[in-house]
Amino acid sequence: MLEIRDLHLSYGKVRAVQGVSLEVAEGEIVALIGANGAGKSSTMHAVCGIERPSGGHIRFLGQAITRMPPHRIMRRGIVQVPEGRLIFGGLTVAQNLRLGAHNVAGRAKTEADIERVLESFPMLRDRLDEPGAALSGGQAQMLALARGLMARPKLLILDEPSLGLAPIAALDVFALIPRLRDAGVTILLVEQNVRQALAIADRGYVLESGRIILDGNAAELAEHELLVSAYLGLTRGE
Amino acid sequence: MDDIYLITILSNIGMISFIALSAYLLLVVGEISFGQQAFFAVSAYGSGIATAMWGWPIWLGLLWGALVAGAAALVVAIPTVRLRGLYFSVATLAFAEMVRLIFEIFTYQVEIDGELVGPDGSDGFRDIRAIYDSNVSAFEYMLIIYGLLAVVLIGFLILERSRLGAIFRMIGEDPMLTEMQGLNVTKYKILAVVMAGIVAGIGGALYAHLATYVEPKIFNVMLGVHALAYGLIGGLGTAFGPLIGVAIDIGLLESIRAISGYRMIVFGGLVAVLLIVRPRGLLDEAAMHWLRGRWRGLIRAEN
Repeated sequence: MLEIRDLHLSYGKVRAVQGVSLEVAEGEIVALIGANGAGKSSTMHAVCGIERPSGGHIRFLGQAITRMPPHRIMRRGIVQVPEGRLIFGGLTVAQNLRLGAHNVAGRAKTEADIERVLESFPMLRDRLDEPGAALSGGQAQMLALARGLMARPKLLILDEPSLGLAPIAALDVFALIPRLRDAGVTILLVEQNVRQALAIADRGYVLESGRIILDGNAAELAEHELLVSAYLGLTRGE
Repeated sequence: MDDIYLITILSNIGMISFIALSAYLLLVVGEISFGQQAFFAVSAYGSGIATAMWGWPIWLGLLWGALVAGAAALVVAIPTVRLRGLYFSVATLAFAEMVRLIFEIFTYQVEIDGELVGPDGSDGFRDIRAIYDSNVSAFEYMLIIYGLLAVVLIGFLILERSRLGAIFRMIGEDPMLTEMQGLNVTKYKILAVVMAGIVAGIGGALYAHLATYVEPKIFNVMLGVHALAYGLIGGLGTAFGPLIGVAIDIGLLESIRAISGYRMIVFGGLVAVLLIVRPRGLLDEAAMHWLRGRWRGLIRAEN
């Protein structure tokens, strides 16, 4: 479905991504993991068209999308729920949802989509008229996810969905992701929370200093000694 | 205080409200323009040329002025909307100064009844007499100003409840996140700049016909700075915000004679204090949300 070949991306002299190749097949949850500054977000930004790669190719559903503007990539079905900058605080919850669906034709359809999405996010139903800024961190993340779904994505990219959330709210997010996949959305999950990401993913890629250093089946990756020592060491045996 | 004095002040408040709304619209999409006076000027000249030199009726002259301002805004928008923040501000300022300097040398005159009529460089453009020739009284003209202002204001209120208005606010909050929703931010920003140009243009055309005389130095950067400050004082949560700003500045500060000499000092101080205490103005988004909640509560209590 998504195919990245030999992607390079630089910020001035800083080479953030150096030859990343990865694939996501339809119906998968693929985790892209790595430490802060490993190049995860840069890779995702290139996929979404926010950053222009200096080299390499990105294909989606067999068609080249490299260097397309973000709004056109989004219309092809790649929706990103970005890290940190989640929702529009000045807009109401309902407006946030409606505008996520802006390219899905027809008002009646949009209202039906809101109903459908709210079934997965019942906590948002009572707060539709409230400004986004009034939501807690966990609720804002849920709204960002719900808004992403409003656009009927084929591929949903989740950039650090658990970042900054209370542990319970993070658990809610991780519990939701497999349900989204079961509903037919392919998911590329970018996470620092390695253990939880690999627990729900089918496959994973490990990024370090702009390069993929490991990839494979998620369950096997979780046991890999390099990962265990580098990322899971501190929490082992908990 | 005689009636004419009051009518003049109210007319000024009305005309300046257009340029305040113009700057406000751009503040909503997150851009600070120091150049809205350019569109005010382009339309003042354009509409004056149409009525005084080409003999067009006033209404057509106003429409023409607004359209020329909109076209000028489109020309400015295409290269500048990709600029962010300070760069956009500087570009608009440079454009406005360029327009003013062009009017300093722009001469285009025709002979009407033995007299030369038309813009004459830095000597300005005299005898834009259409409203006097058609015997429109100052009071009637004030009603025209407020009629048009009401139309524009209703347009803004409809815009604010519309999807386009929500998109403008999204862009103002986070253009990148807006782009990620599949929206072409550049296209919407160009639309906002053109709409703002037209709104400023209506004010400029009205101004030229009330004053009957325009000269380039009226349209200096202070006009644009005031236009910006009105939204920042009154609030960015509603189109009534910039109107409150205009009313405070012209209605109170300029009209109360005791402080008339110190107007700029008081006004500057007011802007500085408000930017610290309420960075998005008196009627900001939070205040508007609270007010709407109270309003809904009242309606529920009535029923």
